Amino acid sequence: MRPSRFDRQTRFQPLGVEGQARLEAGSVLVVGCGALGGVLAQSMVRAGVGRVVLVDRDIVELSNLPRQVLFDERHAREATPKAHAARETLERVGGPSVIEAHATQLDTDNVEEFVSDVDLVLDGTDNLRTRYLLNDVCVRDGRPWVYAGVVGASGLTLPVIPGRGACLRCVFPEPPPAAALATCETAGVLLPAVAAVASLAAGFGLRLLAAPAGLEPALFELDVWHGSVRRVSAPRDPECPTCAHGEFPFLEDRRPDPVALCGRNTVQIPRPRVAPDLEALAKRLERAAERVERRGPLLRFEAESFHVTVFGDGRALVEGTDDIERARAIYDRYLGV
Amino acid sequence: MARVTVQLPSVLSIVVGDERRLTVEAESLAAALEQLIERWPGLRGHLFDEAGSFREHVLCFHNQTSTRWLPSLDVPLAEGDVVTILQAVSGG
Repeated sequence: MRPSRFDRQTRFQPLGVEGQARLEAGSVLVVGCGALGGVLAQSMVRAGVGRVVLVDRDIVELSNLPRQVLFDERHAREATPKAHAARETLERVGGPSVIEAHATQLDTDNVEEFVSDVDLVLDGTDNLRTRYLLNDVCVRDGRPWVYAGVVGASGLTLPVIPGRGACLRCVFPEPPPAAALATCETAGVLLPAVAAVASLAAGFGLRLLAAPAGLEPALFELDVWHGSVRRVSAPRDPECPTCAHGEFPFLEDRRPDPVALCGRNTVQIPRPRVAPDLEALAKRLERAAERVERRGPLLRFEAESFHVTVFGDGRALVEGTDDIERARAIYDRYLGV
Repeated sequence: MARVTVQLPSVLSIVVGDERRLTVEAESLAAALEQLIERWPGLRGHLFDEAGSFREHVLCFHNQTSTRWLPSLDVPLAEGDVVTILQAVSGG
């Protein structure tokens, strides 16, 4: 008799057949499918988690390939939305997981729609604003999530179990001001660091789905260059504005701002309230811009040395700058929003 | 004077280079931190705000106790204590 697909997993006694059944009955939202998110999503699908929901706002580029494990050169050539490319790769793995892909920005307008019907949220994002938003909604709803962040050769991860341990704001009460932290662009990033941090976060994720009892929340720093792991306890802050006092300011902030994408020299402009007519826009741009091109659901063009990709909902990536205001100006100038 | 180990976050290697773990002799946590600032003046802006408090995206632990909940940094140190500083990471 051939062993089952998950034979080696179920032989791991703390998981066992019962834990595997819980994984297959479970659902996970992976926010961001790039470096961290690719490892997280792959870990969930290969482990047989029943439903894996992928959300990513970005497209694949050649410079992603050294660290983003779900993408290849074809994805980069075709500027495939990362969520779609990730699903394509993961569906080739097979298995019982139902994989959903959403090529959109997770923000205050749609976060509840994505989070409300999953058991767990995993952080594969590249910005703290989205993480504080996830913290707000998950703490409010009592849903576990796992923070992960990486830059250079190191990173942090923290499983957040509402009611049992610290939330993100217990640990870091406020996000830092712009440009206060090193980014993948200024400090670079290595795949082994991504893989180490995401693997620990994915381990917490499987544990939270299959056997959450006894998991003690703690903050971990991993460094693959110096070979160190640091663990510090993460108790709840009795005065935490979010998990102690029920304040959810990031969830209540309905004004998404443009954000510079980590390591990309690219700014993302959030979708406007009303989606543009891309066909009409393409025609309008024929004389104003260069290399105007429809690629499936996308519109791409070049203007003033910037490359602009417009998604169907009006969200845009302005490549060639990390200056948010400059990118916004390009967007406004060419899309007239 | 107590000999204590100070662990600095990897993301601050831009300031401290490879010296992420070092031994200092100090009577209090505040004095140990001051020694770090004397050695790497650039650390002050990374760790502290204008009022001299740890920035909100910086964590400092005395052994396993976060200093955020301490009334001050004038905490006496004992031989073998470990001071760990961590900073939020945004990349991914």
